[in-house]
Amino acid sequence: MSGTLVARFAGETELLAAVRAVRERGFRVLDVFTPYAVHGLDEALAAPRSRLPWITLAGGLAGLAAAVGLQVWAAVVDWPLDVGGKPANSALAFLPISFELTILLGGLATAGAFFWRSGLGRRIEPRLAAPDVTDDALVMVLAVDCGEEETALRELLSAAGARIGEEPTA
Amino acid sequence: MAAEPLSLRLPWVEGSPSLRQITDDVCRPLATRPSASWLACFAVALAALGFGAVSAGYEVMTGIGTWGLNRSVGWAFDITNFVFWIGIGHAGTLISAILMLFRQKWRTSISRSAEGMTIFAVMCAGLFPLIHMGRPWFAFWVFPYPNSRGPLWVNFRSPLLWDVVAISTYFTISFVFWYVGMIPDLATLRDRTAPGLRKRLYGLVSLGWDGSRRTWSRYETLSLILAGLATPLVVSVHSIVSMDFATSVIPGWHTTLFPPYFVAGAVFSGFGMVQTLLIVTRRVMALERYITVRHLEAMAKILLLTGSLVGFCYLTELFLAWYGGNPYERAAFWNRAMGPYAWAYWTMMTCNLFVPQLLWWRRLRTSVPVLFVISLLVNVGMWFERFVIIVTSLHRDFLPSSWTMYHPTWVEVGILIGSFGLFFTLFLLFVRTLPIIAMWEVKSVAAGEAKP
Repeated sequence: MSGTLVARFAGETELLAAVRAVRERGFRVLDVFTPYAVHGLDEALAAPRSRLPWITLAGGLAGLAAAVGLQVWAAVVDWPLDVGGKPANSALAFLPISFELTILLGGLATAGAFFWRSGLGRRIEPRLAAPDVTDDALVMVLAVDCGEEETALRELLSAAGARIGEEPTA
Repeated sequence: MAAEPLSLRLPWVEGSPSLRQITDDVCRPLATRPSASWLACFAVALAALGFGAVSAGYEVMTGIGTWGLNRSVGWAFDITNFVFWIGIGHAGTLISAILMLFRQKWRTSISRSAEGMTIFAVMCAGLFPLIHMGRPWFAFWVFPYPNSRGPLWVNFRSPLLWDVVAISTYFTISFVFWYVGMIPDLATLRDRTAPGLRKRLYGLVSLGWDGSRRTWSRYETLSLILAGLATPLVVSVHSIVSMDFATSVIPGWHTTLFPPYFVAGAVFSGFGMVQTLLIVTRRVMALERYITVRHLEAMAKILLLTGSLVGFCYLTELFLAWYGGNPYERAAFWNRAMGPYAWAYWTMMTCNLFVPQLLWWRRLRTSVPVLFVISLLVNVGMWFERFVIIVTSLHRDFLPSSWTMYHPTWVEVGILIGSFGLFFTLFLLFVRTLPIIAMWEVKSVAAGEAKP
């Protein structure tokens, strides 16, 4: 039978050392829950880089295309107006709005992609790994098979300074 | 010999509190009943807001004729207030975005309240063009939407339209940045509030945040991207505001110096307002441990830098008016410094150029009462800067027969008072309902400082 093990740490130094130790021994870390972004955790878990910047690029380009398209189409094709004798396609004057819309759509697309990928808003009452994980608890959740392996993991975690709790409740 | 590595850096969080202590210190004021001083401030702010609403309502029902504007001075109080409030907002973005990109740790304690200030200031700013329209229910006409008039499009070549787009974008991105930055702290509040309506509301806005490493990792990427986007945005917004003036041919407005001059002025005025607000807030909310005198001193250094930049721009303008040889330009600046509005010009010069120079002295920079007085003077000075730029450039036209004076009416003053009322009402509600210090960021800094 396999289960999960919840290990609590007093500080980020202990947590990072423990993450490296259990990974070296081949145990599987399901997730780590912390009250603040612990730097070095992604590297310790060899997590892949976020692909959010690509969304920003796509959103920004869409904003730029929309702004340039609308301005040029409205001012040159749909209804050319003579404003102070300027040419219909006075492209330099379209620059500020193009810039602003690039930023706007780039930012909104990135934020939207973040919410969607992180599943934020999908479940309003989360299953917390520990009730105080948004306060001061640094918690590592591991997958483990019962028996000898579990005993070895418990020893390893205790040596790394962890307090081992039960499975996450509710 | 294994000597202890000596840290030359003083901590940004005093007394090395535990993580739980940080949560308690920031959340405690939200759970208590409002103090008498808070209620008094709130009553005054609401009264000011009410007076502003009456003034604006009277103006909308009667017409722009209730203002002191005339044929020569078509822009005055209203646009002054608009530029003033937009400028205030800039410090929040500078603190949260630009200082983040520079990895300035001291920003963590003050970024949340400064960003909140940005949002409220941009709201106040947005009201003024809306009221100035006279018929605010047609405000949507400024957006390019398919309409039954042709469709007749808005003039994309007009800096006023650029302004509409820039400020809408600025507000939207600032709001997203502020809200996203608050989600982990809202989850903290959710988890420590007793069951009830408050807990459910905090639960709703924290979107089920659980502190997972995966989410944190994406979250940090998102913060960095938003900061990277907000940095050029903040520079562009006030540059575009300055083009409302600079693209015209009015002496005193028609200068390429305006975009950098306005951006420096905006950051200067914004830091003045942050300083004023935080000196009061840290005292009232007992947060001196997190918003330390060192934070105030760091902001004072930015005030000194940007104040000197603004002063340099004033002097450059004066020099070019003389050296450029354009008689109209020269007359406009002579009129500013020596004409009937000289009192406003010299108020501006004193508050923005001379007073911040006191901050060269560390003793003054670390004295809270001195900083408070200087920050108030900066606010006054920067309001007068916009008044001087707008009114003195207009009131003496090319045609001496059109020369006139501008005096605000009670309606215009009332709307200005109302905007302060709105700003402080929102800020006071903010400090009572939301965590005014970014707990997760401060925890990260405190954990880093606690390391041996």
